[in-house]
Amino acid sequence: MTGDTNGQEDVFVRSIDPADPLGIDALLFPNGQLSDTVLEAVDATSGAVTTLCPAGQVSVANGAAAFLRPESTSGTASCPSDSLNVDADTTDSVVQFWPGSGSVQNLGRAATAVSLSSSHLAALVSEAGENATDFNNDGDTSDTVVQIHPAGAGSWTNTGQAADVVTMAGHFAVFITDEAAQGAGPLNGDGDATDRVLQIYDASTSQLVPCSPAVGATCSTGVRQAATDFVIGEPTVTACGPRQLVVFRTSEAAQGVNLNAMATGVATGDSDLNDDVLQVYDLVSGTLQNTGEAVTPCRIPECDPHTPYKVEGVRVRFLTTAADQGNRDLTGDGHLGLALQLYDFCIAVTTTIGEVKPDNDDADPLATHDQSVSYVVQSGHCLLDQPKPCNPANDLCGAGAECNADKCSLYSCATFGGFCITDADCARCVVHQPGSCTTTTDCQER
Amino acid sequence: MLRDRVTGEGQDLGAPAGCGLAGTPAGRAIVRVSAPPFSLPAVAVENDVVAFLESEMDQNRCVENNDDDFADAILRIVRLGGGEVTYTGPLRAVDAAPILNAQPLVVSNGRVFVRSSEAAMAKRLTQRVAPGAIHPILSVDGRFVLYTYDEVRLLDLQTSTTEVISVGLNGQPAGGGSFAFSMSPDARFVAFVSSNTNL
Repeated sequence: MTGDTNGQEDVFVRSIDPADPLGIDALLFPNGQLSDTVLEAVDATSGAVTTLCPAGQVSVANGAAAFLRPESTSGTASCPSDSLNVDADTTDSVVQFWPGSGSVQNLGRAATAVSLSSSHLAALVSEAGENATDFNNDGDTSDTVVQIHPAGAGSWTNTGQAADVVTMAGHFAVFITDEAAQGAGPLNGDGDATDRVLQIYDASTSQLVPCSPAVGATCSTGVRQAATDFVIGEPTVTACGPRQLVVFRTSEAAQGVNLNAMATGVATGDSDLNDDVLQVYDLVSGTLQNTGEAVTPCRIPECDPHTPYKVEGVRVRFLTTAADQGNRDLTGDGHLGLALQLYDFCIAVTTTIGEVKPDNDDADPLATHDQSVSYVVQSGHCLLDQPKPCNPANDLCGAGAECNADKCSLYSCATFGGFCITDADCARCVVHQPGSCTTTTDCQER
Repeated sequence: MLRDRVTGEGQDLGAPAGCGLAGTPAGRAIVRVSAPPFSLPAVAVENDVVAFLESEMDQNRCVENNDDDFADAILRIVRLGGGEVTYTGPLRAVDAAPILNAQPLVVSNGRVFVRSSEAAMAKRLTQRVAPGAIHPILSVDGRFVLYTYDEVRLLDLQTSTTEVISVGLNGQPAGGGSFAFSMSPDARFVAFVSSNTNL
C-alpha cells in the first residue's frame, strides 16, 4: 500500500469518503449523510434535473409521480424532517405527490404501496402506520387498506377494503383482497374466507363497479372473483366500441368452480379444479368474460415478471399448458406442450398462435409488435394470423395486420395456398412482421 | 441503435472513445436487473427518447462519474436526432431496483424518472483505520469493522468511534489473546475467541 511505512499489518477500509469532495449530499438531500436514494426527474429535452425527495417505491404517470418517502429525523425545507403523517413516530413511509412541477406535496398517509394514474392515486394505507386505525372495520389494525386521492387537490377516500396489491387505471382502483384480512367472510361466494379476491372500485362513483357476467362467467358487484394476479390494458376504441380490459388469473380451486370445461363454445374435456383460468373484465361496459382457457404465467427469463400475460386493446396474449386444458392438442402438431394463444374480447374467441418452447426460446413470446400477433418460432418463420380473406382495396384487417394480395395459379393461391378461381380469392390478412426484420428473408412467411 | 421505423431515421447509441475502448464502439453495456427467473434490461423508451442505465463494470470497468469505483449504473439519455442528452450536474449513479412502475427507470411525458443514489455517487476513499491490527471483518451493511489489535475492537465508520469488544460479562477487559471471529449483519452481536482465563 502506497504510503504505508510502519512495517506492520494494518487494517484498511475502502468506503465512502465522509468528506464528500464531490458534494453529493448537498446535491441530492443535504442532511449530512450519504445514505439516501432520491427521486429525480430529468427533462429529456433541456437536460434540466428536478431533484425531489428520498423515495422508496414510485409510481409515474403523465409526467407526474407519486412515491413513498421514508420519514427521517433530518430533512430540508422542501423535504421536511420528522413525522409526515398523523402519528408522532418517524418510522413510516408516507405518500408524496409531485404533479410535474412545483414542490412535492405531502399527502400524509403511511402506506406500503402507491399507484398513480392520470387522474387519481391509490395507496395501500397501513393501519398500523396510521396510529393503529381500523380502516376496514374488521376489529384489528394490522391490514393495509385501499385509499384513493385525486392527482391534485382533494382528500382521501377510504374504500374500506383491505388489499395487498393495487393499481390505479384512470378513476378505477383494481386490487386483490385477502378475505382473511378483510374479515368479512367469503367475498367470492365460495363459502370459505381463505381466498385472494379481485375487486375494482370506481373513484368517480365512490362505489365498487357493477359486473355483468357473460355466458360462462359469474361475478357480483366489484367483480369479486378469486385472482392470483391481474394486468390492465390501456383504454382503446375498438370495432366493438371503447374498451379497457382488466385481465386476471383465477384459480379454480380458490373459486371452487371448473372454469375451463368450455372454451369458445366448445367442450374442452377438462373436468378438474386444478387449473388457473383467464378471465377478462371490461371497465367500460362492466362485462366479465370467462375465456375458458387455462393460463400459465410466462416464466421465460425474457418475459416481464409483472405481466404474466399481455393486454393490447381488446386482445390478450397468454400461454396455455395443454395438460391444463383437457390435454388438448392446441397447436395441432401432435405436441401437448405450451401454446401461445390470443383472446379477442370483442368476438370472445381464442386463437392459438403456435407452440412455445420455454427451454429453447430466447425471446418474450408475449412481446408486442405493432399490435400484431406475430411470434418468431424456432424455425425462424413469422406466423400469419388466422387465414382470413380480404380486399386489398378496402383493407379491413384491423390493427396490426394488413391485407396482402396473392396470385391465383392453376386454381391454387401461389403464396397462401388454397383453392381459387381469381386473384381476388387469394388475398389474406397478414400480421405485421417484427421490427427486427430488415429484409423479406429475415421473416419468410409460412 | 435507435431507429424511427416510420421515417427510417437512425442514431448510434455507441459510447464515446475512452476507458480503454478501441475506436468508437457501436453499442453500450447496459445494466440487467435480475429477478429470477427473469432478467430485464434497464431501458425505458417513450417516443424518440431512450433512457438506460449503463454498466460501468461491463463498460470495460470504466469509472464514468469520477467516484473512484466502477460498480455504478449510470443514467444515459439519448434523443433521436439530438444525440445524447447532457443533463445538469454530475452523471447520476442510479439505484436499479425495479420499483418505479416496477422498472429501474421510467420515461413519462418527456421526463426521465430515476432514484439517484448518494452512496453510489459519493467518492471512494481507502483509509487505514487500524494500524497494526489484523483479522478485519466488515459488517454486511459496511458500517462496522471488527478487528483484532491485541484485544477485539469494533470500529463504527459512520461515527468514527471504536469500542472494545473482548470484555467479560462484568465488563472486565480480556486483554491479549482474543481474536475477532464473527458478527451479525448489523454488528449488534459479535463473537470472539479468547484464550484468557479472566472472563
